[in-house]
This record gives sequence, structure tokens and C-alpha cells, in this order.
Amino acid sequence: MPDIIKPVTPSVIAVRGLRKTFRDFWRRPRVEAVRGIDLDVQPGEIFGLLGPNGSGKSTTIKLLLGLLHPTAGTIRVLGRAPNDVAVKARIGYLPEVSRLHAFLTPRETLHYYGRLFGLDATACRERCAALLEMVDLQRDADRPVGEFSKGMARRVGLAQALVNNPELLILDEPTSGLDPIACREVKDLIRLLAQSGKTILMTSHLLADVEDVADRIAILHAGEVQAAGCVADLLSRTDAVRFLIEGLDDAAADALRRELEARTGHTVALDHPAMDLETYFLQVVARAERRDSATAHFRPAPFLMPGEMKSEARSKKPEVGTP
Amino acid sequence: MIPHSLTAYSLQPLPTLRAVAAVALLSLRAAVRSRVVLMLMLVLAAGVVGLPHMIVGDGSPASDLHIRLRYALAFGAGILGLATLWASCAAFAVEIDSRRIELTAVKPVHPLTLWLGRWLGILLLDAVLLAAVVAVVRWQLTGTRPDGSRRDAALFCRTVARPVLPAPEVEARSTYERLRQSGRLPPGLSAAAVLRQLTINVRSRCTVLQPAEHVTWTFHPDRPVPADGRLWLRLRFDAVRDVTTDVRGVCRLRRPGQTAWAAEVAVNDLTLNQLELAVQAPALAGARELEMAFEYQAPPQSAALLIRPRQELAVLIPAGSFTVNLIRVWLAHLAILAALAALGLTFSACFSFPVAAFSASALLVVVLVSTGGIAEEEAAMEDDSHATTTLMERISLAVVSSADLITAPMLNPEPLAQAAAGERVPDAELGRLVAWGGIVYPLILALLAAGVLRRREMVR
Repeated sequence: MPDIIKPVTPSVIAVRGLRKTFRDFWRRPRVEAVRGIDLDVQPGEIFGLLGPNGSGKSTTIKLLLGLLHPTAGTIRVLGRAPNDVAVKARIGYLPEVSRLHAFLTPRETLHYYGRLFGLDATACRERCAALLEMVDLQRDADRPVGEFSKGMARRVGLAQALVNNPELLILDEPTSGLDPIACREVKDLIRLLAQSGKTILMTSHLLADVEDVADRIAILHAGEVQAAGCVADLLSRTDAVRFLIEGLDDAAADALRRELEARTGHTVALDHPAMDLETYFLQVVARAERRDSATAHFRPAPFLMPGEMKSEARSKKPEVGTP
Repeated sequence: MIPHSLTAYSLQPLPTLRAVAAVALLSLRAAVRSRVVLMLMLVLAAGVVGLPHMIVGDGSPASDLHIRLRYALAFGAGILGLATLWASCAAFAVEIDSRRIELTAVKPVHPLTLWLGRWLGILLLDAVLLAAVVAVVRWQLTGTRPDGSRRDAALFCRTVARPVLPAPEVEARSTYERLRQSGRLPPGLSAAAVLRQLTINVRSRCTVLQPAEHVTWTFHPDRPVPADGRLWLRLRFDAVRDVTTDVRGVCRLRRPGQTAWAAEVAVNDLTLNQLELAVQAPALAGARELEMAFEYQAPPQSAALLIRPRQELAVLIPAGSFTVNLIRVWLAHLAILAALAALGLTFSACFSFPVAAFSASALLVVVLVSTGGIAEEEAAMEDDSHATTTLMERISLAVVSSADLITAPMLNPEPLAQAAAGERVPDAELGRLVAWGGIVYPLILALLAAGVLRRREMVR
């Protein structure tokens, strides 16, 4: 049994032997998209589902949301069946493609979904305003969504996923279609939401995105879990050691290498550490923004934060480029 | 705060009502912000305003009323009916096809709530558009004609009282028993077939009047004659020999049991015309029972007159304003539109848009065909044990009969025809239309759709 099953506390998501076979019109099996998946997602953790296209990530998510019915296996979400109305009230979902009503404005869209959660008009209005501010769409709040770019529509999609202040947030490719700044802001937001006690299940085929935020991951291939566990555990190499020394010139470094090789009898590799492109990009943009005084940062809506984090959420303005 | 426990959530009606209102508002916004509704409004305006100018009447206010109600308003209601059916067929089907339903289906909303919201949204739009059509027709009817006379001279609302006669079924049964006891029943026909034919005969049975003869009928109107004694007699005669014959005679009215006639009106017209005679009889004010006599005063050689009292004879008593009657017509048609919207939505939950639209339209055609009398003929054919029927005939019989049976409560009343004839749409018929179209059919169809939506996989 893979490491993915860790029933320490009652799981937010508990899946056992999940299978999904798509059938054709004559009920003949066509594709077996999910082949016996087991997984547990614990409260407050960020869980990443990774895999190439067609690996069964989105199908698994749709099964968890009750949009598809499993062929075999059991699914418990927040302790109940996924199509239970009470469970749906506690879940926020961002689909892979934000298929919003093109004729509605972001404000109307959020209001519509808020009302579906049974929110009263005042609460709905307040949450919509806070969420629009969070995703930086106040200025475009009254333009039809049909006129929006993919990234802007994605922001509206993210906002609608949070309108009910969910306990469990399911994000299917949350950074798809976003520019690097918005990507980073979404990842920061995901971390903040997890800190506030929300459980987050996200999928992505952008490995760096998941690596940045996820506590645990599962890698799917051909509908099966191929590897699973804590990100740090999975990625760390216990058979090698790396030193990081600042201010060392090339000659000293070469001398040190030779000394280490002589003492250990192993080949020692030396290189200059490089920052990743995303960090470099964000630093450049942050410099430009400081010059232009531009502001475009996701600041979590206060209603999404627990009491002690509310004031912080109101005042906090994350620095672009801060990992 | 959103309730988190199942019990708390499922027992709170307020969140459900909010969700219904949100879905209804979404439907309205989708309709108002699309060009389809704009086109629909243009077509309605063109039909309601333009159609009466293309149909030539006899120039009388009654003809004007007939054209505007039977053609213009019927056109408007028909176009709205088709638009409603197709729009509702698209509602869920297009959402599912485009996978936009994904975001709604993960919200804590029961499929019944979604269905109800969609239905109310479509119905609200229908109500507004139909009201606009009715208002335009009403405004056209009350306008002044080019010759300066008021067009509203024919805008009556009257209750119709038929002569008191035994029910056709009772009379048919009595005739059947008489034939059976005397051994004169036609051979090879079932009892049902014979009774059916006898009932048809009784309904259209004629009273024959020779010159100088008279005949008397009693009426029990459902409301008293008004204080000014204003009422109408409606008659239509046929002739034994000629296509048209002079109808010369006199109609008299009184309360039953009185010797003196309270009103007398001369008849001088041709057969086959429907006559509507206005009577002013203050002596009959408050009467709830009337006796009417017709005396045929033609020369002795004249042809005998025929009258079918169950179909062609009536006393009409004023019963409210024409505008109120138009509102009843609006309500009756709204009930029909409600049933069509319910049908379309349920098909939409079951099938893709093309399949839903085609199936619902085909069903509508079958229903309309079945009400054209085909079902009755086919039923008679079924009763005839000598008739050899093919499998296809039997299948068509079953389909048409079923459609006729299911939709009979909705299709028998003809509110437009009644309003055009200056008749008040009867309370019982209006109530039946509203109950079936607005409650019973939608409830059954909503439960069916909710069951399908719960079981159906929304996305692939």
C-alpha cells in the first residue's frame, strides 16, 4: 500500500479502490480512466495530484465532486458521499477551464454562485466585493466576462470557488492561463488558505507549481498512483551532500574540490547556484513595479481568514517575488 | 453563515428559495441579453400589429375583434409557445453540452431547485411578453376606427347558458337500452361503439320546426340577469331542403311560470347565419331561470327549420368586463406555456438539445393532431370488431390515444375562441387549465427531470 494512505486524523478525502470506466452508447467499456486509486487527504494540507495529460487527474477530481459516478470503489468527502448536498456546501471548486456565463459580469457571477450557496443578499454583496478586490478585478467588475482574457476569467473562477468560504478547496490546474505574477500570487494565496485551516487538493502538470506549495503529492499515470508521499521526502537525495558557500573565488573552490576528492575518494562536482527563471522574472517585475508604483497583488479576502489572521489579511500586501 | 450539517441545510427553505431566485434571474438575464429575445419581440410585434392588416374582415366591430383575437393573439401565443418549447429544450442540454453545468452541479443545489428556477425564469419572461401582446391587442381593439366609431362596440364578456336538456350520455344510454330490449341493436358492433355513436347523434340531434310551430326551452344561467335586463340570444338555424331559407319568427322571453312575456324580439334572417339578438328586458332583472320560446312565422310552404339546441342555442348574460376576460385569456395561455416550458426542460434534462427539441416538437404535433378528432375516429375504429387493422394502425392509435388522454385537460378549452365570441372564459375551465398546466404537469415533469439529473453524469 503506498504512503498516500495516512489515516492519522479523520481524512477530509478518503478514497479506496476507485475505478472509473467510461462506456459507449451501448454500455461497452471504452476507456478505463481510473484504475483502483487509494488516497487520503488530511485536514489543512495541500495535496497535489500530478500526472501527464490523460493520466486520470481530472476524472478523479470529478469523481470526488460527484460529477461522475464511480464504476467501483468508495469515496468519502468530509465524511459523506460526494453528491451529498451538505458536503457540497463545504467545497469550493475551480475547474480546469472556467466556463462562466459570458453575459454576466464578475460581480453578477459571484453573486449568482453565492446565492446558490444560500447566502443572503448582504453577505453575498460583501463577499463579492472582498473577492473582487482579492483577485484585483474591481475595475472590471461590471464588464461582461465574455470580454475577458483567459487569465481574467481564471481569476473570476478562483473567486467563485471561494465565495462559500469552503473547508475543502479543489483546484484543477489553478495556474493555467495565468501570467507568472498571477501564478505566484495564486500560489501565495493557496499557502495562506492552507495556513487558515483549509484543505486544498490541486492538480497540475506544471511540476514547479505543485512543488512550491504542496505538502504531499501523488503522481498518476494511466489511472494509477505511481508514487506518493511528502514532497520533501520524495525529492531529497540522501546519497549525496551539497555545500553552499558564499564569497568563495574559483581558485579556492577548485582547491577545496581537490581536497574533498582526495579525502573521500569520490568525484566532487562544483557549480554556481542559479535561481529559477520564475524567481528571476518576479524580481525584475518587482523592480519595475516599485518604479511605477503599480499594485496588483492577491490579498486574501478577510472573510476567508480565521479571526487571528483577519487583520493581517487586511493589511498584508505580499511583495511580488517573495517566495 | 452556511449551515454545514445535512439536517440543518436540508430543512432550511430560505437557501433553497434564494437558489431558485438566483437561477430564475440567471435565465431572465440570459434571455434579455441575447439577440434571440430581441428577434422574438420583433416577430411578435410584426405579427400582432401587421397580421390584422393582411386579413380582410367584413368591417364590423365583431369581425375586427375576431381577427385580432383569433389571428393576431393566437399568432403571438403560438410563436411564444414554440419559442418557449425550444428555449426550455436548450436550458439544461446546452449547459451540459458546454460543460458549464460543472460549476452549478458542484454547488449545494438539488436538481429540483435548478429545474424550478429555470422554469420560473422562462415563465416570467413568457408572462411579460404575453402580457405585452395582450396589451397591444387590447389597445388596438379600443382605439377609434377611421369612421370615428368606437372599436370596442363588440367587446363583451358574457356567460353562456345552454338549454336545460338531459346529458347526451344519459340520453344515449336510454336509447341504447330501448334498442337492446327491442332487439334492434346493429349486429357486429360492441356496446361501446354503439353508445359512442348514439352520444354523437344526441349531441347533434335537431329539433324540427314546421311553419307556424313553436318550441320552448328553459335556461339556468350561472348568474342573474343584470338590473338593466340586458342579455343576448344566440341561435343558428339550418333548413331541411335549401341551402338557405328565410327565418322569420319571433323569440320571446319570460320567467318560468309567468304568463306574460317579458321581452319579444323579431327574427328575420337567413339560415346558416349565427344570429345574436340583443334583448333589453328590465322585467327579467335578477332572474336566474329563463324560458325562451321561438315561433316560426314563415308562410306554410316554407321549408322546415332545424336547430341543434345543444350546440346552436344559448342565452348570454353580461359577466364582467372584457379586459378582465382578456386577463383570463392571458392566464389560460400562460398555463399552456408553463406546461410547454416544463415539457421542454424535462426533455432537456434527458437528451441533447437537437434530440430534445425534435422529440418535444414531434410530441406537440402528435398532440395537436390527436385533438383534431383523429383520436375519436381511431377509437371508433378500435371499437368496430369487424375492422381489420394493421400493426402500424394499432401503434398510431395507441400513440394518438395516449397523447389525447394525457393532454385532454389542457387542450379542450379554447379561451381565445370564447373571448372572440364575447364569452367569459369559464372559471372551471380556467381553473383546470391553470391546475394542470401550472401545477400537475410541471410537478410530474419536474420530478422526472430531477430523477434524471441526479442519475446523469453531468460531465465527461
